[in-house]
Amino acid sequence: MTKGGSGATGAAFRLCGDKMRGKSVTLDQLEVTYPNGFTAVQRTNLVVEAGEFFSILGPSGCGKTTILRSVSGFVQPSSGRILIGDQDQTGLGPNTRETALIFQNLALFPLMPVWENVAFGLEARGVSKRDRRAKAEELLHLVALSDQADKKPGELSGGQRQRVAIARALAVDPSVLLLDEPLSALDLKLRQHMRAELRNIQKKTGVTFIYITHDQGEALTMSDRIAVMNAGRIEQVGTADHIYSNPVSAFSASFVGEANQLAGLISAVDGNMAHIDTPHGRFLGQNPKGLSIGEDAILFVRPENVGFEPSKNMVSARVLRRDLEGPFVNLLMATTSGAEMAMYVPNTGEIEAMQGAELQIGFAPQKATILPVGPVARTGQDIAAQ
Amino acid sequence: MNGLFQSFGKGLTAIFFACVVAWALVLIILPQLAMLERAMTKPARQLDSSVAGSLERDAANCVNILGHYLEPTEASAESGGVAIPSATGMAIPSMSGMASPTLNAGAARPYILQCDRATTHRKMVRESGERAFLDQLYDLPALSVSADAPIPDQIETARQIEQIAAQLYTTLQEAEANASQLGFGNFTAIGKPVMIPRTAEAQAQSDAAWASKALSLIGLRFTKDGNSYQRIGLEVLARTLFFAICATLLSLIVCYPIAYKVALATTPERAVWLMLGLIIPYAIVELMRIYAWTSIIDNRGLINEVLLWVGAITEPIQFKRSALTVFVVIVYTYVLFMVFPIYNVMNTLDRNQIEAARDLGASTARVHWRIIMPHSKAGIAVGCIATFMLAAGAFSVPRIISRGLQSEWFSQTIYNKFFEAENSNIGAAYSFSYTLVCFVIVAVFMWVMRTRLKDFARVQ
Repeated sequence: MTKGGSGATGAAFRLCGDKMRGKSVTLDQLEVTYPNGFTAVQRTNLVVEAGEFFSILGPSGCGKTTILRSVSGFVQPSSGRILIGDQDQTGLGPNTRETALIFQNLALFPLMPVWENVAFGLEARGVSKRDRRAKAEELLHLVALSDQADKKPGELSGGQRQRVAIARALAVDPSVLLLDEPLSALDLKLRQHMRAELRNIQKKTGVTFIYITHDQGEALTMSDRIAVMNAGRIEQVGTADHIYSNPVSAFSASFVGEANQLAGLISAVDGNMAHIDTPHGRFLGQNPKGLSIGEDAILFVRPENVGFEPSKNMVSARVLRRDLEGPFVNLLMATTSGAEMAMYVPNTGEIEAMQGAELQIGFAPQKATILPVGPVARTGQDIAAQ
Repeated sequence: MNGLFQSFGKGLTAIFFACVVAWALVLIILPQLAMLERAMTKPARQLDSSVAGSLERDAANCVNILGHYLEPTEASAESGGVAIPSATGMAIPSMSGMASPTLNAGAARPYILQCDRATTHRKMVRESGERAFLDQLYDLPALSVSADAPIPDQIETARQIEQIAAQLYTTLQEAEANASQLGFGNFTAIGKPVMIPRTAEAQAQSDAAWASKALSLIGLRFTKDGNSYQRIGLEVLARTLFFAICATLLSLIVCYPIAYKVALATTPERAVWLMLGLIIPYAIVELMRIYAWTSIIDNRGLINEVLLWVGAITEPIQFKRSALTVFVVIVYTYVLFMVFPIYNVMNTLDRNQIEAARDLGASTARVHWRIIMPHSKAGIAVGCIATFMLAAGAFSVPRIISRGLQSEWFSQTIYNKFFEAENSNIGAAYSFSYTLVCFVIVAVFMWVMRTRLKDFARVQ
């Protein structure tokens, strides 16, 4: 963190040249219990690497914002500690930490012009007005808002305000940038554009990003690594690919992406594979958690892994609903035993003829995962019914 | 306008506008104009025609009373003593008590006030120092009712005086009705210096006081020919405004943290209790709230009793004589008018902005200066204006607290001019100038605060 006297060129060098500016964030046995007795974050250990784009993905109320607020210093942990780099942050207030937070509603200062918003952090550090203005101009250039410096935030569009918030947070040269669902208020196109832009800025600056979201699309597209969180607990940490293909809990499997669920009892174990007996038939799948015979379990299989090709796991079903997605067709199948299964098949034009007929559908054992019974993510139907 | 039409229809909108116009006219414009007109005219009884009219009435009454003495009897002599008071409104009571038989032993009648006053050589109402008499001014014969003359002659003279006065009254009234009576005489009365008779020691003591030095500096006190003069009206005005401004500042200093605490630094459930604590004292009638203070500040009130008991003082502190007491009670009485506007505006501030500022490294002071205060500016301005106007116009507080033991508040001066001195024209001039001065102060304040009228819409 530099104080004053930094000319425009110096700042530019730091912004684009210094790749290793970010610092790691370590949650060491962190636990947060609010005064009303609610434990928002259960005992958690987590290491976010320096310069990483890390997302915490979870439904609302899962405690992800609490983690973010503990890292930024607004919430004091009830036990455990937080380290930024290798520095213990216990007892430090938000204004002395090397973090910058981007709020869900951005919290721009409406009475100050854009450049003063951006330069606010520098003003707080006692940088002279000329240097502040220079640094603000430079950051606004980085986020392509050079011509908006003297407007008030209220005069900008949603995407522009978003970028002002990013510039404002970057102005204080943070080691860690914390983002609390900042894209949730934007419309779809802009959101997609801003994802790319955020990723870009993260690469350029080398700052560690911790990104909070309930939108798996955002997490999957932007992040280096993701933590899936539920009910105050981190369920799984890994790269997007890893979490999507190898979920380790029922919640992870059901929350990230779509998955068909078939519940039953383990009937046989064969190396890292297992057989599961369900009311809809007996299926073979991966057994990453090492479940043993007789345990309650759920088999998860992604809709895109269900097909018409013959395989070890077959079930007969008929088409219940057909939604055209363009290149893909989403089929909702009803098995003869009464289960519903979703499948995505390439739109080759052959589906039309299959309507009404009884079909054999199946999935490869390698693509199915058998996991212990646990809380699963609520479906849209559950949420709507509430 | 269109919105009103659409929401309420033509009928209701018309009624609404009629009410607004009626309100503005009847409660704002007309009273101010009436006040201004009154302020710019002399009191009717000071006019020359009024003096002539009064002389006419006195002469007529004199004739009436003298009628009783044409045939002197015991009964009439007694009743003659009861002189009928003159109806001019001058506060000179009928002095029947002076009609002592021994004084008027040789006369045919007792002393009669009206006859004594029935003289054309009558003093006119003029600025102090100037002497003028009716007969000299309007070239009248010098007539008066002499108590030594025989009663019929007296009646004759009085009749003559009555006729002359009646004639003069009619002509003067006509002339006055045509001539403009407007002038700034009443306004200049505020700045009129009054000589304060003092011993040299008292003078030296007074000069040493810093308030006196400050007042001399702006020309409200001066010494001429060895006599000291004070412009009492302006002095009271300056004092009142100074205290009102100080009270406003103190209220602001007290209220800003309270409003901040309730609006931004407390959970909503607890804020309800704080709010209740603020409102309850104001559910008590204002007079009772002020009166409660007297039990604290009295010579045998709470503070003095405690201090005496502890032994910190041997004589009770005379709080009633201290301007500071009035000042403190005013702040207490009107503080809520400062809290609520500020609270209302602060409540609309997004708390994330405060957190964002802190997160960016701002100290608590900077968060207030750069985020909370700019946001609350309109509320601060409204609170200051409300508190200032209430403090400047406070009447019950200085009256109840000081009980006349210290210099007046300007609102008391105005009251006294209206109802004690019975010179409502001067009172009107005082109150009109006071309104104007306060208005200017508020305008200057708004300019300094860069508050635009539209900001007030945010205050609720």
